[in-house]
Amino acid sequence: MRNKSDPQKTNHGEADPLNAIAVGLEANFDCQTRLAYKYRSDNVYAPLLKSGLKLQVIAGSDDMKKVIGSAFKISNSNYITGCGHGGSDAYYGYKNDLIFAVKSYDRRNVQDKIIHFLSCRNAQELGPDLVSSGCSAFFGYNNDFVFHVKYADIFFECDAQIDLGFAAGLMAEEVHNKVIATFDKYIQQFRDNNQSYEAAALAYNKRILRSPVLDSNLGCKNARLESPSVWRRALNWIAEGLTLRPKSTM
Amino acid sequence: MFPVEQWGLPVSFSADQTKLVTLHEYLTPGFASIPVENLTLPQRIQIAVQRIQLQPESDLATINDGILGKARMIQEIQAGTDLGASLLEIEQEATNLIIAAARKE
Repeated sequence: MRNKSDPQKTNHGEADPLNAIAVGLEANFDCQTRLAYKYRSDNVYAPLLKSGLKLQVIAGSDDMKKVIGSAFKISNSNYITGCGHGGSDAYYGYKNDLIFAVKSYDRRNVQDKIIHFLSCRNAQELGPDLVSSGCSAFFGYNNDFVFHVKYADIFFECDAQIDLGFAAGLMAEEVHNKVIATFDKYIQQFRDNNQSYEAAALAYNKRILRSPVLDSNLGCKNARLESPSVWRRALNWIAEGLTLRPKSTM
Repeated sequence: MFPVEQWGLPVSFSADQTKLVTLHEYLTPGFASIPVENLTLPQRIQIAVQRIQLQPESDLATINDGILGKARMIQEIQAGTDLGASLLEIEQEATNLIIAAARKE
């Protein structure tokens, strides 16, 4: 189904979702989601891959429930990030195809995963619902995420600290603090340049950011994304244990 | 550099609540105006709408709606939608920052 010649359907990293540790869901169909995807492709997904994270990005017309549903069920991903339209109770993919809605998804697709959506309003109801279904931490916004197109990269960079922070192995609380520090840095820069509207819009996004640090119903402050090396180590320990156990019990 | 066009834009109301007050008037010693923190919601809406109308087109966008444009921004603020409330909040914060910056000029 995936056409690799179509730039809207760029597939980063592992082609096989079975091996994916992180999954990116990119609506990528209108000006704003295309702009965000372009930024995130270069500044989120590329560094994530560089950090050694196995990554599957499902973008454009592949970002539809019927396409990603089966992949999710068998995926061992433990991190989901994405950019798409949002409502208080739903996250949408390509051309507003419904991806997640309150009480309307396979719990296995969210259990024990950290989830971050660069979208509008998802932190109101969808985030808490995903957490009640086993998602370990949710980062999102409880109102409309705004940006000035001319400075879109700065607005997206603040949000990108969520993905980059988790990829660096930080805990949710540390990630939250990193995002806030980035917001503060750019708000001050805009103020220093007398760009009051840009500063006010960025300060607004900072206020509507929600995470486990601010809302206990958005998961655990200590949640962190285990790095592939940690997974490998854990698998080695399990393998060693399985090998050793028969000897020790004899 | 402080944007000079801001001096002529409204930031508040006169003390008798009959007319809009520009930034220049607001910061003129002895000029009787309502402190911005005491403005009512209808007054804040009227000021925000005026400010949007008097300024060049904005490139403010949302992930859901893309670039909003002046007409849509005014419509949302006047209709009191959730998005309108957000836009009003941003407009007010920007105005407060402009007043603070102007005081230093």
